[in-house]
Amino acid sequence: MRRAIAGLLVISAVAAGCGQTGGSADQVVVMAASSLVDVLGTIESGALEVSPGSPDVQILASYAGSSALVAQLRDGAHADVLITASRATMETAIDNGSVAGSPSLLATNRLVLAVANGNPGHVSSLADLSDPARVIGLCAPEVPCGALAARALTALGIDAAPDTFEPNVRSLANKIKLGEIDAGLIYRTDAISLGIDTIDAPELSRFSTEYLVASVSADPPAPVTDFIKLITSDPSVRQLLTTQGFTLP
Amino acid sequence: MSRPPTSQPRVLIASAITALVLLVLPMAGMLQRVPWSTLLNRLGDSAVTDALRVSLIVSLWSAVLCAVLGLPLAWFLARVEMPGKHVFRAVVLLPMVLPPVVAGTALLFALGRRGLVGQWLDRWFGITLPFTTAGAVVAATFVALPFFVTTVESGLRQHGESLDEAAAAAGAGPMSTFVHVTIPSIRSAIGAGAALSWARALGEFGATVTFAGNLGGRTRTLPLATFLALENDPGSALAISVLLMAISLMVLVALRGRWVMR
Repeated sequence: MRRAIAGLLVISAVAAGCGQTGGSADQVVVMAASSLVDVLGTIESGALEVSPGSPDVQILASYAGSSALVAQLRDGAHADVLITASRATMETAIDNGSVAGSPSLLATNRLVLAVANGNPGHVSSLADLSDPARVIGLCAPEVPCGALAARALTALGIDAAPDTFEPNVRSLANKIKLGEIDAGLIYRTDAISLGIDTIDAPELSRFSTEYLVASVSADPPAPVTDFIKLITSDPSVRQLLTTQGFTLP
Repeated sequence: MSRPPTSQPRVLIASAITALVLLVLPMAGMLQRVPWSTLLNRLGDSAVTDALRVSLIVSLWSAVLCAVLGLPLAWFLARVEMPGKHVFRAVVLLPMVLPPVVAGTALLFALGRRGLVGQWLDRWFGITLPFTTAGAVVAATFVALPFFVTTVESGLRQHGESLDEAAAAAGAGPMSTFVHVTIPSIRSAIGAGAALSWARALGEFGATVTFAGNLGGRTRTLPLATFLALENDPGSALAISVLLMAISLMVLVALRGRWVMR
């Protein structure tokens, strides 16, 4: 028993040591908005070469909501690259000094009117979002998808009657998919990845959020600039982004 | 302290202090960031008072439901012998260890509009629980119930069956014995269980947001308001956290560890 405990202690010490190797010359640590998990996962798995001529360069990605990422970075998390799902969150990171590089536009993601499978609420247009009899969900205005939805609804003069303000787009999307919510505004990428039905609402097309990428350091090493170049210009990455519902700049 | 500290094993003392520091440090970290000068203003904000009202309604109803449903269950666990009861008890305790978000999802699968039972509630009675205050009460009760049941079960075991048997021998019926003899004898356990389950319900977040959603004045409780405020108004989030912490601490101090049956 005592030996087993000692073994566990050694293993955890080694594991803790491994956790601190992030940021070595061959590793690019990326903090990214959750919606990029599939795209970055493809790069992470080694399917694409990050740095031309340096096959050892790999990325290590950590995912969370953009606001959470910015808070982690401010509180001392180590990262080489930050990718946020909104301009506002990137600007916060620049303003509080945690990001020194200048951001470039990776892609945009737009809102869609999503409905439960089979459209049980008979939702036909954005105006149905004001119907108190239907179960309507929006993202909370505190998070990017909710801020965007609020901006869109105000601009379009729709006085929505939501039954819930979900804490993130994924929980809203899942409840629409489960059929607990009749309709709501989610990102196009979430509708595509979860296979959620959408209703045509062309007036939403001008409401989108920008995905920005920036290096944390003002003077990043070559692998970091190579990685940013890869995701902003490589044709296969661009293809992947489009397939998932992002719009390219 | 009745004995001088030198007579205590030092290793134990040191470990105990370490454990205490681990528990207290996060609170201290939070308290030093609290915007004390604007605390009252922030707590007087209508968004906070709305959340406080919803929290009190939900947590008190939940404590009442825990008592009404939990008392018979605790009696059953303490008094009725049946094979495989340890498995049964483990199921009762499950909500204590389940991640609350999972609990909320499970509630959606069971009581949601398309859920196992929920679809019939909707079809036959027009009742839908998700996104309603009643739904928030159900979510809070689900996670808080084991706290009541374990406290009262341990009270019942302490109390033993001798008084009950005496009452039965004197001619009291089983229900009359339960109401007039058993319940009065475990009053303090019932009180402690109700207070504990109420405190747990008050702090409930994951199951509530998953099952009941988040709408001001209807389902947005203090923990939900705190979580969203953390996104862009950490000062208010901290102010609400202090309020929650103060309320919970008062209850636990008032109990003086009474849920641990001596």
